Amino acid sequence: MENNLNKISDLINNQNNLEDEKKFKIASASLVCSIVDLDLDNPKKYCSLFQEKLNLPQEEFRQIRNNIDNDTLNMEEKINYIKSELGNNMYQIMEFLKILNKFAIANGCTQKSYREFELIRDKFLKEFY
Amino acid sequence: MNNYNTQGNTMRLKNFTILYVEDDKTTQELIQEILNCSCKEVFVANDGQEGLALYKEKSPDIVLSDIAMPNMNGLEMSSAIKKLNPNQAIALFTAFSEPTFLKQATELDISTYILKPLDEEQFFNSLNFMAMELEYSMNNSEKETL
Repeated sequence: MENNLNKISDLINNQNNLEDEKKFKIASASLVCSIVDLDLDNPKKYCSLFQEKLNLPQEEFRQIRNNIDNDTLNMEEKINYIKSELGNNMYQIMEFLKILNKFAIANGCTQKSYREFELIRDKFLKEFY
Repeated sequence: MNNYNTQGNTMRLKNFTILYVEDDKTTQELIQEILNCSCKEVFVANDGQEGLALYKEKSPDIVLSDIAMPNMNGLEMSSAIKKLNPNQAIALFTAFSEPTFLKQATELDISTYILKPLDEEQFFNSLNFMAMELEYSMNNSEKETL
């Protein structure tokens, strides 16, 4: 199963348009930030996950994170955008959700993180259930 | 939970067997009734020790367990099951009030949790997500075989 997770990184890497790749990373990182509280948790804990799963090196993540507040897309729009980029493919979406799940439980898992993950998961999958 | 709807989003579960491990009889009966209407087959155990024995006998697709139980708790059982099958889909009931248990659970690579108090919709959404993962794994295995 672990190999499948790399498909998301592959998808990001293979995007022809750098702007599209950046937009995908911003939307993804923004969802992660709603799951884990990086202000309370040490962001370094998540660096390897960002790099490994979302192809986001620390410096690039820092830049994205600083701009998340300026992002005009709301949660629903980000989810729809990511779904669209994943071809509305149920299994690609599940791979993406497994990555979000890794973030949710990376720090030993808290109710707030897991609840937020569930809310996002169900918004992604509502038409597939 | 009394007015649960088994006509809606439970079709995926019809293809899968579940081992349900719970020591509280009242909760056990309630959840078992719901699962019986939604899953292919449900096996019920009263503690981790019974659960592990039933797991070895029945090889269920999904394991659903409480954490705090006599004889062998849900984590000890999950650890033993993961040794038998590292890819086994396991979900644990939790109120998130036991951070030490949860840390151990995440170390066991358990990624699905059913939040207490139980919310019917979330419960089925979590089980459906596990069923979708299993379908995906089965499809991938078939492709690899071909």
